[in-house]
Amino acid sequence: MATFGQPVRISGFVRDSSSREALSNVSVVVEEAASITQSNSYGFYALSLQKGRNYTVTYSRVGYRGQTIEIMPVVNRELDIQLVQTVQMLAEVDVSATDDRASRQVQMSSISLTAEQIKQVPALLGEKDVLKALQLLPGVQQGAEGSSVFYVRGGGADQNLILLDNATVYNANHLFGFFSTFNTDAIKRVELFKGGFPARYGGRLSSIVDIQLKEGNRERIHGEGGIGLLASRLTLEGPIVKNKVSFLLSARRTYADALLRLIQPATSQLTYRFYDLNGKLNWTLNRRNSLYVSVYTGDDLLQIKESVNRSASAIDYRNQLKWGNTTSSLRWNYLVNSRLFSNVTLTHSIYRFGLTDFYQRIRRENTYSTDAAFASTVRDWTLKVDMDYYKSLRHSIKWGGAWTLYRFQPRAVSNKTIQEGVEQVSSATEAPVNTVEAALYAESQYQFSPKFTLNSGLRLSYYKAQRRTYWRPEPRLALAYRLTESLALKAAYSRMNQYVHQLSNTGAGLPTDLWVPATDAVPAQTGDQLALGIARDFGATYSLTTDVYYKWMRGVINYKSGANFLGIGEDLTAEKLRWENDVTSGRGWAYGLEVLAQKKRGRLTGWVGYTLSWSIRQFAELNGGKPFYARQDRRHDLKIVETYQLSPKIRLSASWQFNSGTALTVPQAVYINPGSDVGRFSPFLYYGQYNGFRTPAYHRLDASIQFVRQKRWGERSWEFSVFNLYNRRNIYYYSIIYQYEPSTKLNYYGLDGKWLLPVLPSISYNFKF
Amino acid sequence: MNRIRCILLLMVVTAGCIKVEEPEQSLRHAVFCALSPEDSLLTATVSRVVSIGERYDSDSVEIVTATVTVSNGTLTKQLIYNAKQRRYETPNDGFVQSGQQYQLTAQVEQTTPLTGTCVVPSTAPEFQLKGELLGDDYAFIINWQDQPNERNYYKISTDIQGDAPPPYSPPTGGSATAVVGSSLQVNWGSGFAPYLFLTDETSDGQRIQPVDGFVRRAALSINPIYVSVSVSNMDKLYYEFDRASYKTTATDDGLLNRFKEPGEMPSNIENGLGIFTAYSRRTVRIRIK
Repeated sequence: MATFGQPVRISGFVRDSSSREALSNVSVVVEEAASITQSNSYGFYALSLQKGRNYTVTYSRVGYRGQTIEIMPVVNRELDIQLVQTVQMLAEVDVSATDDRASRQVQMSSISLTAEQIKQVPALLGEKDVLKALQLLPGVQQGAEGSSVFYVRGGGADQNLILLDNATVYNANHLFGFFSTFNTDAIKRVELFKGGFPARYGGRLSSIVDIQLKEGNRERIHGEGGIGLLASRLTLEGPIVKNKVSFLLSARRTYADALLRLIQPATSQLTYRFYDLNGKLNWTLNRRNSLYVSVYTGDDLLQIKESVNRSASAIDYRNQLKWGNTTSSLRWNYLVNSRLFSNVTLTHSIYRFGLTDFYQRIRRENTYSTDAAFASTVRDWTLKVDMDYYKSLRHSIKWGGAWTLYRFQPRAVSNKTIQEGVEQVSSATEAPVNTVEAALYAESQYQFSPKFTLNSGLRLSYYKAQRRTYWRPEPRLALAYRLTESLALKAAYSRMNQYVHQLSNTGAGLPTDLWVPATDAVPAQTGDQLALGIARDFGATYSLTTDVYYKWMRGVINYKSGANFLGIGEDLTAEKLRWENDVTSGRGWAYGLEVLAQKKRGRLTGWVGYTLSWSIRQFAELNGGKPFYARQDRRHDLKIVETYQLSPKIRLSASWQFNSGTALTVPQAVYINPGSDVGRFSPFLYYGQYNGFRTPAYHRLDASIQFVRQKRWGERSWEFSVFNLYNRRNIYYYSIIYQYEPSTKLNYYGLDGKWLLPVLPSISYNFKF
Repeated sequence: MNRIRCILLLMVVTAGCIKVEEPEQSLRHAVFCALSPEDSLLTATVSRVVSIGERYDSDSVEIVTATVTVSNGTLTKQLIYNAKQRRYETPNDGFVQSGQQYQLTAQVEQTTPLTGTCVVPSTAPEFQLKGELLGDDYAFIINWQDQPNERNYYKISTDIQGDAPPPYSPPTGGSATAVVGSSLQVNWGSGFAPYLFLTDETSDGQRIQPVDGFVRRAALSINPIYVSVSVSNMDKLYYEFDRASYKTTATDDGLLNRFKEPGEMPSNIENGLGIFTAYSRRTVRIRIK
């Protein structure tokens, strides 16, 4: 038995009082020790206190009413806590880390959002989207207009690791990026790391987006859903065995295909649909053991069909694009003892992309047809073990390991041509590549004094593909020093390695996610990031954080000039159809300043985020070997997000964003060969400097109003929203146009900037029961 | 507080030490010149580069007042503008030799001269050509031994010539039949194309795999018929340029082209655009009907 002054352990789970779901990232503050800790991803926390002393322990989390208890520990004990959601009709907009006070967090460059917060941000066609909510934060930039593709701190889109219940999601986009694959109703929490990465995360250079699905209400059946202009969704959750086994089922589907079929002639049709399905089963075996099974699947299908008679020819054209993800994960939580918590996860993820292109022209008895197909897949299996050890009130340790087997099938291409009765079939398939990635990590968070906390860690990553093997240490360091009660200085350094690449072309925002591994010919990516920051709180209402960062990247890849992503139309031999032939490897730099000012309480809440940044790349084989601005280089980026609670039943929201133009490679000039000996087709395009062209600045205002009413059966809300309120014509992509005027014999080549999304009002109906 | 913020801002600004050059001024002229020991003329064209968004007529972009010279280091030949052919030219007279290096200079008024150098590749290989008429179709096979210890870049092209009845007669009329000649769309085993590009980059010195060609309905309406097959040994730049010119069309905006990266045409011209290159060609002509 412990004697007076000896440590006594208090541990338990923090849960939602209504659904009994575990609550992660709950701040647990022990006032007398000036100590702060957090519940882990599964709601578990542990404190080590001295026997016989009085302590005031406060549990708090955004969206929940804080709970304070007085304890005088005598023996080791379990103390489970239930937090009550704020009774306010709609939670206040808040993007802070969980303890509200930014100056008290050790972790810098990270932001946590709940589903309720995401739902308060105005959205395109009323479809709330987690990735688009993240895009409204400083340091995060959107891809093309309306796209949920995002760039973090000057990194590429492939440098973001998106985890859904620990399984990797390779393509998080629906409808060419206009929506993400995540159904907000099924999400419990999302956490974004832009820098200062804890050692438990690895595998990408620029960001980690960790999304957790709800576990399923353990108390009662609960449902929510919505009907929008584009899609509808329904989520059901509840207990199978009360407080022991719970489930969650969630589905979302567009009806654009049905609507488009109705309004288009049968001879010329473009149809599109996507769907998502989420399922989760949570089984608490006993206090020490819990099992979770989580499955997600989603697909997009775009079909274009056209049959026309032109110039005495019957022309038939059919095109189909299909892509989607399936992820599944099995988790086992085991509470070894009151200080040691373990989590074992087994995940599987697959991303598939396919395209078919059929063209047939029949003129008299002659038939000409081409039938091309392209397919690409990547899948992985991962086993992960994480251990959380709460050594003392001031010291916690995490360690663990992960092992992943990848199987890449970058490209399989076939092409069949029939001309004048002669059939020609050619096909090529790149051999599948199996690779192994593994890591061991350990991280320690130690509070040296009430003012100074240090989180240090090391991740040892291993990778093997073909004949190449990597063993690479990745040091991580984050420290926070509180200058005053409300002002803290922070610093972080992290090294990351990335063993998969995504080949992205610079054309229109099609789902060009060709995932490929580091191989003998193409090295892995390595990045170092140094970040410094200041966090200042102004009472409980306002906070201001300022971060500066510098990132070095090596082994980043880019398509070579003129490379063809699909390989269709190229010489189809397996040797020539090697993606390594199409890419080049180089270096990158990104640096900038981020400012985030928040108002967290009151009827008016929201934030203003500003980013000043540079992102530069250099490849020996591009731009004459000289550095050039990356596509995501945008000098200024300003976002304003505000919500005003007009009354308990009415809420107004608006967001405005501005960013400098995107760097693109577009033709600067044309030149011709007046003779015909050299160069068969004229004119030729001259592109000049790589990414040397800037689109006009991007800006857009979205607004929405929500009317919420409590009903006997639950709650319903109507939302009216307007996307692009003042109809700004933001450029989506450029096409090259040619005109010839016969009367003057003048030729003209020009760039035609295409804009896509005008002012778009929408209405949606949402319900909960 | 303000001081700290200023220091952080200063760090960012001073850290921006990666220099990115501003986009260069548009290059103003282009020159095209391909040398061949087998050609009787040295020819070149010079044209003005047109900015995107500028309206132009084809005649106005042609530069007819340039001074164009080709030098082998000891002898310099000036090419004179031939308005009828719309090109600069001068007799070869054995000036172009395999293995030798040449320099091109094109001076347009007071602008910086456009220059380029190239080395003429070795003589095109001797090859065997066998073929047979299969009804109206024609199938042929080409075979040769590649030279070891050098990387070679080949283009195979075919032409058909013969006397054809109307409507192939020239617009001026007067003749019951006319000689016609055209490039053939040949099935090379990977689809129909007018040319086939081959390289031994990965199999230097090995015998080139026999090349099969197949021409559908080659013999329709024409009698007699001759088929010419040419094998050109090109320098690498010309090979890449010629291949790229088939892949690149300025206004092809189809769906599949959305998956292609922008591609700059290969160029070895200093202070301008275009290409100065060389090739050696050998042609075999056979009568098939």
